[in-house]
Amino acid sequence: MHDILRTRNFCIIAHIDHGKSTLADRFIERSKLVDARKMQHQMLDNMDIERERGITIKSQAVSLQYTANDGLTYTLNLVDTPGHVDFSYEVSRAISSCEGAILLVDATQGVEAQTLSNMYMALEHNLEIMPVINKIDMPAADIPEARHQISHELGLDGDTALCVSGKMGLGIDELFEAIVHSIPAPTGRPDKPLTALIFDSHYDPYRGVIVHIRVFDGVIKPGLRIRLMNNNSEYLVEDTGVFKLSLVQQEALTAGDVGYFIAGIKTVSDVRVGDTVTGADNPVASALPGFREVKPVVFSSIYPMDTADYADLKVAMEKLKLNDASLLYDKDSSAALGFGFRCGFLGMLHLEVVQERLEREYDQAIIMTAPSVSYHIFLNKGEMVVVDNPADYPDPSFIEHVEEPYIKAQIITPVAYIGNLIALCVNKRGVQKSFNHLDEKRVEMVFEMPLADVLFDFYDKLKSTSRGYASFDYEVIGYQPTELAKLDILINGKPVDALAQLVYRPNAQDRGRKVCDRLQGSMSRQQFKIAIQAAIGGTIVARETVNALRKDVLAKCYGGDISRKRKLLEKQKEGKKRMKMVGDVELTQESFMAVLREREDDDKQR
Amino acid sequence: MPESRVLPSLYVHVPFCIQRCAYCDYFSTVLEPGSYPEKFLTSLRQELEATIIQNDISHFDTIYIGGGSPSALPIELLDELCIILANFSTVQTEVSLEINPLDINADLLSLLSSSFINRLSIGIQSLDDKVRVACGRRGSAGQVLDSVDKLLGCTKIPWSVDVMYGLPHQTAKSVSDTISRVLELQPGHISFYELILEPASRLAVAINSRIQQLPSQDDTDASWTETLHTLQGSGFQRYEVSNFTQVGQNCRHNQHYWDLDTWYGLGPSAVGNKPIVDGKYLRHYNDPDLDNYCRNPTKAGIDETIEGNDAIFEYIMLALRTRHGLDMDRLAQQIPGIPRRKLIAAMADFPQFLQISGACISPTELGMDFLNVPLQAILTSLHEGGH
Ligand SMILES: Nc1nc2c(ncn2[C@@H]2O[C@H](COP(=O)(O)OP(=O)(O)OP(=O)(O)O)[C@@H](O)[C@H]2O)c(=O)[nH]1
Ligand code: SF4
Ligand SMILES: [Mg+2]
Repeated sequence: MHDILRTRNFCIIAHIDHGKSTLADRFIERSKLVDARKMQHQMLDNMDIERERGITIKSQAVSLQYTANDGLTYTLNLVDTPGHVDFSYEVSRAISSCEGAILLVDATQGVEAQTLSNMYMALEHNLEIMPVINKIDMPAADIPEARHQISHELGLDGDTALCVSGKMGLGIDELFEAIVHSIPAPTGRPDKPLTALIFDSHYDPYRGVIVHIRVFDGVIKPGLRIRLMNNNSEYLVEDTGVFKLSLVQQEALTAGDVGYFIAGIKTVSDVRVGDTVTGADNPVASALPGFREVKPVVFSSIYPMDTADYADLKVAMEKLKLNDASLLYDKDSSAALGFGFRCGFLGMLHLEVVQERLEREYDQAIIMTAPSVSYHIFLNKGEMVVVDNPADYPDPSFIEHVEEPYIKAQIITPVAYIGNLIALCVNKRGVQKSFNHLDEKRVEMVFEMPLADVLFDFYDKLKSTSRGYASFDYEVIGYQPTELAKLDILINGKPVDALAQLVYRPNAQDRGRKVCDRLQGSMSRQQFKIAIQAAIGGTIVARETVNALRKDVLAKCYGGDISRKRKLLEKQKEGKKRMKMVGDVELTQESFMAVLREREDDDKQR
Repeated sequence: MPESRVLPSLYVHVPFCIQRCAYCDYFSTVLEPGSYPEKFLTSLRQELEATIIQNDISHFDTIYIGGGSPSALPIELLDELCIILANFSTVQTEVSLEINPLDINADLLSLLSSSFINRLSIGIQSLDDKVRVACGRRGSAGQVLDSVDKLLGCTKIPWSVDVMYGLPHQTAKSVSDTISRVLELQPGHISFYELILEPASRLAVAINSRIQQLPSQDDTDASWTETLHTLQGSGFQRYEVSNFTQVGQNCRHNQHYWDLDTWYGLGPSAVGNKPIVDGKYLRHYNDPDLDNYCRNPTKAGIDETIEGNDAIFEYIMLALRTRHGLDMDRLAQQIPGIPRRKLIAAMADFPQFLQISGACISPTELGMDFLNVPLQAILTSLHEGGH
């Protein structure tokens, strides 16, 4: 039996790339959870997309044993969190399972936008926050400056902040000791009725739904009947255990523990992240507060490539939702694409991650429609409708006016990039609200700008304009009047609903031209000429044509050419993109995506 | 065992040319002092004898002497080659010889007048000097025409001509000029095909380094369309994707390729094919290496077994290239257990390219130009698994 007093639950939070996952590696290594031979970089980033992109997307919990200088062995439940703005919901869930947080600050970058916003989140939950300065091995590290910023910008004690290098393993032992001493032990009681918070879950093809919990009070173990409080469904617990890179069975989880349980849950949708688990025979009266409501800002529809695969896609969405509580969706349908789902995302990166996970983890061939924000449309009759789907856009003659969501964008940047960043924001219809020197080298700028304009490529441009040095955080601040138009895309004269978009009217023609151009580039030639047109309210504003398919290269094919010719065709088949018939035209998945992407040279043309 | 066995065919690869064309990646070496073509001939004789004995062959249905440029061989060697091969032919055997017009001389003409060769394949490619120079093709258009005139004045052997399009500097006009001058010579058969830029060829290097330039797609498309029109207007039937014939002048040898029948390939780089049990094919590839071949003519190659989906696909791919198309019954007989229904379903998706009548599926006129589209779909359906 372990002792609640020797348990520490903490998360590592920081701005993106400040070294959270690398630091987690050192913890894993020192506690000998894995063989030195099997150690990898960013061990906890185990999804393919995380490894490819080099960023954390999912919060990941791991349970470590550490023998401290006092001779006692402690159980440290650590959660590595993502730093990207789009995944702050992951951070909030991690925070609610912990008593403390290590707030990492990259000594070469100092305090950045997500350092601040993640710290506030931890403060709201009364977590003990330990600021830690990282990457001190780097020549550009400026420790005094980092201490100064921690004190002045975060209001924490910068002078006593520990200094580490996650990469080189410097200062790790001191950090272990500090965690044991500064982060409070959990306070729950094993003898009280079971109260556990579901902070995550995932689907295992062999074992079914695996629920990740933090036990606040009581005990959960195999054989216990539990109740999920959101819908009072009851299940018999089959297995409990902890996370040690893989799931490791453990007799029971008691107050203060972080771990998992399996209970033969067949109805995947019974499991809600944020829900409270209690005992069926001895339930608590009220549920834990749960999580703040997810507020999606980007909307797009997902359709199966083959309309017959709708049922498969539905199952895949449910399973993905188990592991991504921030994904919201509803049934949707389109004339061109059949049945699908209207989805809400926390940002464009979130949207891309969902797309990739559906394709890779669940083997779904899908199409996504152009992302949109949600508009407030005020009708002549005085009524207001919320529209995030071009298909729901009312007849313009009924519209009195429209409002679109605005954000407050906070940008922290070295002074060298100020000019270019202002130009970028103004180009995105931004209005500068403030300008602050944080110190001699860095400024903080605040802009108000329409969310719709930062969706597509703002983040990438911000990073490229500032060579990666500027950081960005935003919050939606409300709605402001705008001029909106629905841009229809017609293929061979027929509007394709799935390609329609809502756009800022003064930019509509320009956008129509680009969409046509990009569609043309993405469409493969077919047996006949294809006309692509963009229209606003029945007026064609742009057009392109795709010439008819070119005939084969008519080469000879004699005895020596046969195997070669077969292999060539096989190779071409591999390269062939997945197609979707829309009317009598084949559209590729790229065609749908092409509509969304801004191209590099778009800006140069301006 | 089903009887009425088809007689095998023979392909002989003569790996010598006088000069290498820039677009060519066939295996051949420039004939120069020290090439020892007689050594090659000795080796070829050994390979032929071994093949005959191993496979118990009395004679061939068709023989094709190609290369390289067999017409470039010293006349006594070519003569010897003909004598050797004649042992395995009958009066019914179709015997073709590839001829580069620049090799036509009195000796060759006299050889032709007395040999068993009954079909000539003349490589003209283009009658535009600018194009010929850009391709490193030997001789001028004038020389080519003079030589062919000389040949036609001396022999009545049916002949075919090779013409290419899509070569550097070759506009649609240039192609149509070549075609009309070729038609004046009244060939019985025309092979008309597009340049494939082989990565290993000299031309590919010149194109990649922008020393040479290929005609635009519009130009090559126009070259094709105009020629198709002209040939069809002059009584030629397109009986295969890139082959046209006057009535009764089809090349039987090539038809054996398209039917995946048995043929033996002799000489370096030659390829042979043989249906074996269970719908499998044994494909034999001779090494493209003359020295190696001369050292060990009977062991200078590798075998590959083409089976399953690969075999089915090759069979279909070749059959659909021909006017008479694919006979599903014959396919089912050759390769047991084909996913017949699935294949027909895949092909039925392309009515503008393929016409289905009973067990027979043949390309439409348009389909012959766009075969890759249905072929891709057929490949996909074959690889989807499950019948
Ligand atoms: N020199 C040096 N580089 C480090 C150190 N810690 C991390 N890095 C590097 O910084 C980059 C980002 O490290 P990660 O550990 O992935 O950062 P993260 O905070 O987990 O990033 P996100 O999860 O995407 O927010 C990687 O290239 C690391 O190798 C350090 O102490 N010193
Ligand atoms: S095209 Fe014919 S003549 Fe020219 S190099 Fe190739 S094999 Fe020799
Ligand atoms: Mg990380």
